[in-house]
Amino acid sequence: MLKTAVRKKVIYAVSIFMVLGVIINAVYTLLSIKFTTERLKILLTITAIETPILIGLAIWLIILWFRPIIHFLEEMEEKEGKSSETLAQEAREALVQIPRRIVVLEFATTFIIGLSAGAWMRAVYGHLSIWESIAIFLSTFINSVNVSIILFYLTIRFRAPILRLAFAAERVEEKKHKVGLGIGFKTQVAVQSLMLLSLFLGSVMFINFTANTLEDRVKIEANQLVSDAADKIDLLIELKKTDKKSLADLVRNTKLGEGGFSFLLDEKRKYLVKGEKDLPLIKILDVHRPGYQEDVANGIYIAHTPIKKLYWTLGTVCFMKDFDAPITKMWSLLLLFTLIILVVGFIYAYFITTDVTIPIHNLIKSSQRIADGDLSHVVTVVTSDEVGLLANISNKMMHNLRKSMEDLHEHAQTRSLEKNKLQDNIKKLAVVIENAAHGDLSQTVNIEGAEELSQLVTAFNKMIEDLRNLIHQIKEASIQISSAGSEILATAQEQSSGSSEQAASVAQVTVTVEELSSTSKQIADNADAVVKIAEETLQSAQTGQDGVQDVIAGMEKIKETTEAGARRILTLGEKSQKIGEILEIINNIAAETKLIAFNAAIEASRAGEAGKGFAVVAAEVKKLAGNVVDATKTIREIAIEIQTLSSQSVMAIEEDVKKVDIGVGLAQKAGESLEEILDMVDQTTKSAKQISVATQQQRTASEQVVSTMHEIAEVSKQSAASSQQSITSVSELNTLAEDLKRAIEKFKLEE
Amino acid sequence: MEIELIFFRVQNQLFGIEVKSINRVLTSSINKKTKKIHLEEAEIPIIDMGAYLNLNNHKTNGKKEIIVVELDGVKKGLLVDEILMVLNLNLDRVKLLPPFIKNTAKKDYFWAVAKLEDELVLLLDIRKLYGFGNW
Repeated sequence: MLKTAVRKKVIYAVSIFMVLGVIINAVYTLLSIKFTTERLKILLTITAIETPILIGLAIWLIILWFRPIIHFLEEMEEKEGKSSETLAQEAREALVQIPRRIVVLEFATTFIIGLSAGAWMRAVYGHLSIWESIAIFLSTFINSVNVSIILFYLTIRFRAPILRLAFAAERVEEKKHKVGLGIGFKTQVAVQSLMLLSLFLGSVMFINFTANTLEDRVKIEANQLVSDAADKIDLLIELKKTDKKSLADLVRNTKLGEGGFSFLLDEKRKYLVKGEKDLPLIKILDVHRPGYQEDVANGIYIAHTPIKKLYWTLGTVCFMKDFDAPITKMWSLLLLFTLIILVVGFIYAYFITTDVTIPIHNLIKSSQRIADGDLSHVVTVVTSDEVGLLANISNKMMHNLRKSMEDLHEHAQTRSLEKNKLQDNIKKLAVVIENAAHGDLSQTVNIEGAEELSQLVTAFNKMIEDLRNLIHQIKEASIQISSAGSEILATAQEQSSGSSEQAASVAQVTVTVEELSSTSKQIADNADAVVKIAEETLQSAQTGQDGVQDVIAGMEKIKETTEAGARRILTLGEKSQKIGEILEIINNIAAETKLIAFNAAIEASRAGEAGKGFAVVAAEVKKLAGNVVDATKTIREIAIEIQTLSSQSVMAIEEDVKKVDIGVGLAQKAGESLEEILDMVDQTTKSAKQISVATQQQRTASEQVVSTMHEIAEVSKQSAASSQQSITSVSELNTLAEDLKRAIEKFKLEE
Repeated sequence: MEIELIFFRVQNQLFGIEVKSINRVLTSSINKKTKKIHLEEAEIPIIDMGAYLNLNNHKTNGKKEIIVVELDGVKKGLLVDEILMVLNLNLDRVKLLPPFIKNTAKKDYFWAVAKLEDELVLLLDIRKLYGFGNW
């Protein structure tokens, strides 16, 4: 049952605040932006996206909020009123913490969605002016605040009864902290908000409507102006007076508003007459039919019409800001009135609420004092309304209550006085006797005017006096014994502890010195071993150095031999080059021989039959010359081969020489390293020998210390034993004295 | 009947001349710009055969050989790349060029063609070097 009731409430709450939020959002947005179809489309899309997000978020948050409450209520039902403190605690936390989070989250979400919607409109439409952007921002902010306030009130409404239940469950009396806001403040806020909201919405709607009407009128006028001017230009064309000056005069005189101007385009969309500004909107005019272009954000309107005879276009530009003086005036008046009403409303609401709340407040204060037990208080409410009547009744009731209380009080007081006196005397006597039983003999009993008790008191006082004297004497004797014993004991104990400490220290020192002695023997042995090893190392290093010297000498010899080989091969290369030169000479001689043979053939031919034999000889000579040329070719090839081979060999040998050099360098380095090793080994040997001698001396010294220490230990042991004996005897004496003292101290003699 | 011919090379082309019109042959390391040489106290003009036969894209520097021809006591030197051989050919291995070819050619340098073992060699008309017409 409880569950379903809570769920119903949740559903009501969600629907109410969603509907209110959407309505307020729509109204504010409609009022703050001038609408074109594109903007309206975007707005509808935003609302379509925003609504499910908000509903989902609200349902989720409220379910989250109610879960612990429902849980708590279920438990309450099951236990039939028996409360659990932890459950009540959980419920209270949920009731106090979660509403705050819901309100903050809902505010943030609404605000972010609104801002992103504004940014989207800016991105898509691109023409939002700075004022329109601020209007969107403000409307989003106000919208978010509204949603948050509604949600806050709703949660408070739900919270109050359940909170009371939670407190009752824990059986804690209601404390004096306030739940929610005071009546006065609530009424003020309600009256103020309603008045301001209705006035502001009405005024804003009216001003926006007026502004739109005014703009429409300006547009109609601009269209008319352009159409009239176009007729005049048609006339000029008829009269063939289309010179630049008359056209310019006509266009300049066609203007609307202070900043308005006109322009004339030719058939190629170039300026025949240019206006004061070159607006980008002019470039996208449809030049074939009359129409307009509009920049809503910047308040620019361009009306244009074609001049059909010559395919020209006439346009006029007007700025809306030239005509919005009355609107500005209206806005400032609205602001002024809003302020006045805010102040007047505040004062009015203040008086009304204080008239109601102050008497109630006084009544509450008085009731509080009566509840606290102050019955002498009188309620001071002087109004003639229901509250005044209530105050009078409560005053009368209090008067009667006070009278009966006072009578009762007087009667009770006289009876109790007599009884108290007797009781006091007996109590005093009992206290003194009890103290004496526990050993306190310092007090005597002193009673006035009670005859029944006087004999008993005198006898008791005499007995106390005797006891006091006896105990005093015993006490003084025992104190003297005790102090003498304590002094002796302290001296003996000091001696004993001193000598045992001494024995322990001597034993420690002895052990340490013995350890030292054995350690120094080990060091001496190790140092000797080091000396031996170092000498061996010295010999090896010297042998190594001799070897390295031999290696260096061998390397030098190899280097010399290879260099000599390289020189010989180089000579061979040069010689083979000379062979080439000689071959060239032989070749030339062969060519000459060939030509001589040809000439001989020619001469032979001239000689006719007689020269025939000679021609045969010439042919032979020519053939020989040809053979020589062939042979020289072969020789040349061989010589070239020798040359390349020898240069390769020389290069290889040079490489070898370099390697040998590197080898020599490495061997020299090895020699230097060995030299260093020799030095270091020498130093090591010397140091080790020194260590050996020093440790030997140390060992002798520490052995002497050990024997001396043994003697000291023996002496201190004897001293400790004798002081222990004297402690035992003195302690026994001291115990006896203490026992006596304790027995006497039970008795207290003087105050 | 036999005809005695000397064969020479200009670039990769083989040409021939009758031995009876040749005075002598000699070597000379001259270049293209050399127009004359001195021989037995007489000046002899040199004709570069590469340029004369429009085979002009060859290198003109380096070792060259010169064939000295003589007609009516006037000597002229022919600059060639290499003289190859002297041969006696039977006349049936030599054919006159037909007038059709002679007329269609822009210049008629040659008068006949000789057949060696596996190629045909054009024989140079010496008279044209001296500015004579057909004969």
